[in-house]
Amino acid sequence: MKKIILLIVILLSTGCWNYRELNQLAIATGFAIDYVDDKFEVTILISNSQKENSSDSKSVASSAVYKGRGKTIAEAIKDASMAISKQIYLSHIEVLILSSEVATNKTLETIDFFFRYPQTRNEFLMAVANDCKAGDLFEITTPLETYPSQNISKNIGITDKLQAYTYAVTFNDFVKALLEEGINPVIPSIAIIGDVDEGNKDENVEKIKPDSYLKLEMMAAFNKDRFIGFTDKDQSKGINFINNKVTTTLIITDYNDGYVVIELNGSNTKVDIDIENEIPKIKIKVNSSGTIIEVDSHTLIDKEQVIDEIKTLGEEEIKRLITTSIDYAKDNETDIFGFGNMIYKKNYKYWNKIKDSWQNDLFKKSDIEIDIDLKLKTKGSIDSIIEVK
Amino acid sequence: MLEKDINKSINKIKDMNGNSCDIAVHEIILNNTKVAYIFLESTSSDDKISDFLGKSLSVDVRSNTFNNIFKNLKNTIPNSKLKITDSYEEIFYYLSSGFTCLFVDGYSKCIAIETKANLDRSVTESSSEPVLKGPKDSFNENYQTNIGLIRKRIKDKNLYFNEIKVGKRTKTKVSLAYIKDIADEKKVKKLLKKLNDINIDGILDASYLRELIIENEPSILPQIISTERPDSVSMALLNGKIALLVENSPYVLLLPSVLADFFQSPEDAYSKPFNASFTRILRYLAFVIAIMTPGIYIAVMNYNMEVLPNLLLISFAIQKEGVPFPTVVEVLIMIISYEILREADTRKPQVMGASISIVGALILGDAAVAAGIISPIVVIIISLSAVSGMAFTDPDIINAIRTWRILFMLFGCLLGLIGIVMILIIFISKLASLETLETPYLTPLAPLKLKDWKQEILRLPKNKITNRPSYLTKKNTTKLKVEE
Repeated sequence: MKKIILLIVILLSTGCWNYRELNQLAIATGFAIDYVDDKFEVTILISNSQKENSSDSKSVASSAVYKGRGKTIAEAIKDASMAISKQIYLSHIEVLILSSEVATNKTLETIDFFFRYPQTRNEFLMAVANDCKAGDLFEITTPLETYPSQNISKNIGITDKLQAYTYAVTFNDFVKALLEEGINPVIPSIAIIGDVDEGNKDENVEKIKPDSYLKLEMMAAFNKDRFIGFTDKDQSKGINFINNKVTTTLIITDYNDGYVVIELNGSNTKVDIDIENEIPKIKIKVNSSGTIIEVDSHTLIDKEQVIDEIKTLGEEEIKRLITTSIDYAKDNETDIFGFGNMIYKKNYKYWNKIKDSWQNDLFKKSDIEIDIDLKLKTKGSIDSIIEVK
Repeated sequence: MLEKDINKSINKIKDMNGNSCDIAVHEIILNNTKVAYIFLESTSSDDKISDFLGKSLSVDVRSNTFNNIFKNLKNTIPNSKLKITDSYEEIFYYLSSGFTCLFVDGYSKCIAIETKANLDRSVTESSSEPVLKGPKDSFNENYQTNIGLIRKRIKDKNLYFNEIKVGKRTKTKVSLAYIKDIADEKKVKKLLKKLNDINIDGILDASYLRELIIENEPSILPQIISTERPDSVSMALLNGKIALLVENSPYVLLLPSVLADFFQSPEDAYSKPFNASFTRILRYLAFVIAIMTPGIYIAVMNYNMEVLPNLLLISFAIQKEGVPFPTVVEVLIMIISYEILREADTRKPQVMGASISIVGALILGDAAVAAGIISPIVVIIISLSAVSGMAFTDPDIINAIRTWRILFMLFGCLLGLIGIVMILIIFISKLASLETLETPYLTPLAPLKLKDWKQEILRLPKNKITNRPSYLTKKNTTKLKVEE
């Protein structure tokens, strides 16, 4: 007992280290960085502002956006906090959005701040603002989610799962791709569809057809720490295939006089690299399975031969997607797939010899061998063709 | 020693008790010899006195001539609890126990006949440990009834009841019950020695012994389980435990007890194994929730909000908005008002029942939140913690949980989750340091006895439990013989 009392006394005399009350904090869930007039402009999305202060215990939380400017990111945050009556709390950031300018020129500065700052956890998602100011993204209200940051992060998450156009990249993944040998980061991008000023209004939420909304766009590719450009749809899909991020996606193939749509419901990619010869040979093997979900063709798909034909077409389509994305990477001299990293892991001595010329020489020259194996499990609920008789 | 003169003896007995109002004396002349009987009106039953003595001393008996009245009475009185004594101390003990003492002039001995008035309640349903399915009877204040309730369950000749009297003034009968060929001899001896060493003026309830026979410094958690259910006692006896029955107490102590005992209910044995195991795991969970939730809540709210998911944190923050007190004060207000409410609810006369629950539910729950004094989440946390604490029947463990809950809160509010870990270490080391009758408190968790988990932690089907718990006994361990 004496020991317990002694312990309590010792604890009491230390004071309350790091004590905070929750209602003194401004919980930031979104963070956007723009670069305007040689200054950083940060936009902080505070999510625990309480606009409807009624006696009703079910108070509705809503968001508020604060901006600050400064020569450094820390200074900009301090500038923004001048307008906030609470302490800004950055641990719960969900998304970090970079404007394309920041992504091009100031990536390292941004990473340095978030990596060094002890409060932030590094599991938030990264995105690039596509053709708009990064800060504007938080100003668009959305009818489906309470907070704009959640709207963005959930959208990225669900697209990752169901579309395979973009995939979720956390800050950690991003930094890893930057710091590791022979790999460059790719992150999703977001665009505003419609007018920013209209989207800022409360009515935007109430309308059945919102005036403006956010839309997830294709992947943004980096070369080292510099953003180089957005990919198109096919290239994005190809990147997803090579990086083994596909879970479900649509493969659309032309067949006879119409089309056949295959929905993949499982895909696994294995990449191997052969460095025996002078020119490295990259082997990509994709194992997918899928279902036919839409047919616009006057062919009955009841015969094995027909299904085999569709299967081959699907395989060719996947092959095309992968080839376009590799071509994009080769043209831009950026190894966004981490082939170089594989060589580094396999034979670092060889990698040290070639690493300076990898992206602009050997990678461009490298042979790509693509092997697709698509399994069509079912062909949907009907065999026949839908026709008017 | 009694006097030969009957008047002197009677006067001495009256004097000893300061001529108390309930001492009644009757004198009769029998065959020219003075015979007197003395009893306490308060503890004796008039009917029984007339039954036994009236008949024995009645006319037809008087008409006979005896050579030896004392011997004759001794042999003829039809009472099964007839005692002969010659010491004043003993006489008074018998009088208090409801005996009638019969004196014959010229003899320095007296005959004590049991004529006890029925001062006890009947065997009723257990109020503090109710079960849905299973035997409903419970112990009462009558010592013999209590022994009887056990005897009728275990009809084994090896079931021993060793009786000793404890308390200089109360002279309370304490009976040590055990099954000779199962229970650990060493523990029985040790316990007997301990009981003999107790030199106290009075024992009024079994809980007195609970404090007097423990070895460690008094701990917050109860170390000896007490029950008012004969079936629980019988189960414990069959497992090799020792039961302590105390006169005038409806509670029986079971020794040695371990923490796991408090998580068991006799109902476990009567319900389906899977359901019972699930309930037991729930009770462990409830124990952890009851002790730790308010502490962890404060730690998380004030220091480690990083551990919360985004939406939960925002929801907490919104609820905290506008509450003028720090989180600790908020939680303390709720905990203290809940404890007062509970105390009031236990002590209040039953007719005032409804008012307390209305005041409690309305004011503490709804109004405090609406007035903005307390955030709704705190009400949830405290209710969760309080309800979890109520999963136990023993009020001592409920109150021990309360104390530890407040200690957890204190450490949580001073040092956050680090503090919680610190107090957890203190808590576990405190638990591990306790032992009763050389049995560590945390058995079978520490020392680890996985075989005992089958019945002590979980409750496997009865045909899977072939042995008695190994920490209780080393002899006669087979509980169930399974034909291979």
